Amino acid sequence: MSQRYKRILEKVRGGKASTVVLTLLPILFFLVSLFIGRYQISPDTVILTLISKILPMLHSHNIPKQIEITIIQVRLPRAIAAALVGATLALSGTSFQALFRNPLVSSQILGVASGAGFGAALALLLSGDLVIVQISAFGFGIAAVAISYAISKIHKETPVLTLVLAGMVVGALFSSLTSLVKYVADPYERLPSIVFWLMGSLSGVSFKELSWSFIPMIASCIILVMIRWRMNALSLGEEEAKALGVDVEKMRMLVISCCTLMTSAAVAIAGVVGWVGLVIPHVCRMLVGPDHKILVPASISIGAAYILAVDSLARAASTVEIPLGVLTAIIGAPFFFYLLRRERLGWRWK
Amino acid sequence: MEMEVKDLYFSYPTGREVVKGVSFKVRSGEIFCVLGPNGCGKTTLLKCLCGILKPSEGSIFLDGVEANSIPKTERAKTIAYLPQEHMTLLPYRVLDFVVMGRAPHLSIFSTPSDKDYEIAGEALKEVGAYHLKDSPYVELSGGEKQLVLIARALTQQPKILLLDEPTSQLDLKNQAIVLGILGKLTRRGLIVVMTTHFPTHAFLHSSRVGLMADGRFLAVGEPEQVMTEENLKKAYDIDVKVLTVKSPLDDGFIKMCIPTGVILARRCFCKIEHAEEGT
Repeated sequence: MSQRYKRILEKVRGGKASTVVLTLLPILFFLVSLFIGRYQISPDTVILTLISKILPMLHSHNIPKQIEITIIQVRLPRAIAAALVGATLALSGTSFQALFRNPLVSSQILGVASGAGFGAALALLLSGDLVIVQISAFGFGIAAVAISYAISKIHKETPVLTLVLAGMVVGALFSSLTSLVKYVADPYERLPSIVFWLMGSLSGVSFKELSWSFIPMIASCIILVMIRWRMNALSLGEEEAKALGVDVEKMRMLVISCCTLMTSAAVAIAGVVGWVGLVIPHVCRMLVGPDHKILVPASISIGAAYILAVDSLARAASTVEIPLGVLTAIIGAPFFFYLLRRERLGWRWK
Repeated sequence: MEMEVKDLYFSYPTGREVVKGVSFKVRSGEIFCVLGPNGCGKTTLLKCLCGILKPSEGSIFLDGVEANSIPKTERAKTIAYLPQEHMTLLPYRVLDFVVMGRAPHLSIFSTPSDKDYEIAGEALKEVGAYHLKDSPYVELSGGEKQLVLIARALTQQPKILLLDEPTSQLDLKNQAIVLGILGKLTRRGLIVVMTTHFPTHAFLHSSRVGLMADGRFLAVGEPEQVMTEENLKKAYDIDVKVLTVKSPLDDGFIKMCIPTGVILARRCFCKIEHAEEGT
């Protein structure tokens, strides 16, 4: 790490500047994602429409119905979903990296995404109704983690390594089950919808879907933000955390439950969006340091901003929408390599 | 404050018994040294004392109260533990690292306040490491890390300090600094229980010694009575000479330990040197 870079970081960390930037960044990208879309609407019209919706007495006339529907019914729920999905995936990645004391862990480590993917694929095969698909994805995501946790319990205590291995096993199992579903699915009707769902996308998200999924996401986020400082002690390892009076078993259960609930909900509405839960925590640690007191809010903010930006790009880059999960991987993988190359991960290996 | 350990036993889930009936008592202002060969159960004993491991039998009394009946956070307010090997992967800033010692004093939903950072800063000043407060912990030297760990333990504001081989990885100067700080803390009324591999340290710094071998205490008491040549031979299974040296600074005497084999080897080495000089 160069000296100059270090000095810049020192200025950013803990300063008021970082708080301002972290608050403004997601708001900025939120507005940008409302401005961008197939149907050309000028930014001032977007803002006027929003104002007329929030404060109808100020500005209620001369907005065409078409524009109002596009912004309020299409772009607004999609932007909210993008922010929520980004925030929850990044936050669960950060929490899991602290809990498992491993920089290569992401939100998917206990098999949430594989389970949810299988749930969605199965529902798409059998019914195709969107609500059923989401509920099935949510349910199977939770089930996958529950199975991982139960397997790791074969030993009396839950050493972190057993838990990770159990997660890998369960993830692999559900992935192969998903392949099986794909194999038996009708290749002209069902299979494309399954494949497309698994690529991850936010197209067609409505307030109806958000109305149930935002509850587990927001609730889990709030709990994790409240217990964020304890993650520092947890990241020291089981024995030291115990010596500091932390109830490690309970904390671990709480963190895993929150992360699972919100990740399952995120996957249920957005499909499998990879690399966010791995890369964003590292980016945040690079920006604000490893102290979870600041790192957790930073993850929420940067994660939300990132998915808002990538989703805007997915809609605007070409005439056909690029699947969100594909785009996050295309951007995330080289960026992670860049971080590795610059040794900026901020972890010390022994 | 008084800690009393009565007939403590501990076995790992595999069935291997590591601590086999240990009893001792320490009071405020004492340094209790646990001395013994590698693998005799010193570290396990300390882990039982601080509550990381649950003893399979026996009791630990803190001022007459059974320690296992005390809630974990309350116990962490009384007892602080410094592990032998500390592996933190994340490069926490030293002050952020030290303030983690406030964990037992804060509720699960709160974050440290300015006052907690102040306490952490005071602890760093106490061990003379305040100038390190903004450096990343992982980049410190072994001696600095040990000081910072002691500061974190002090931030817990404990009455008992358990240290697992606090000096084993330090150079001469840092050993003196760490042992000096421990002496200062006991004079303030803390109980210090530490394991060590240096019998001489036990002579120099402890008020009481427990000589451990194969999970049991061979002898407990004043260093002079416990660390006899006979007992040390039983514990370490080699011949040891206890030397008494007159202090160069006052009228007192200092005791130290040297394995007989080392003295013999040294004599041979000197003889060869003499022979070479003669020719």
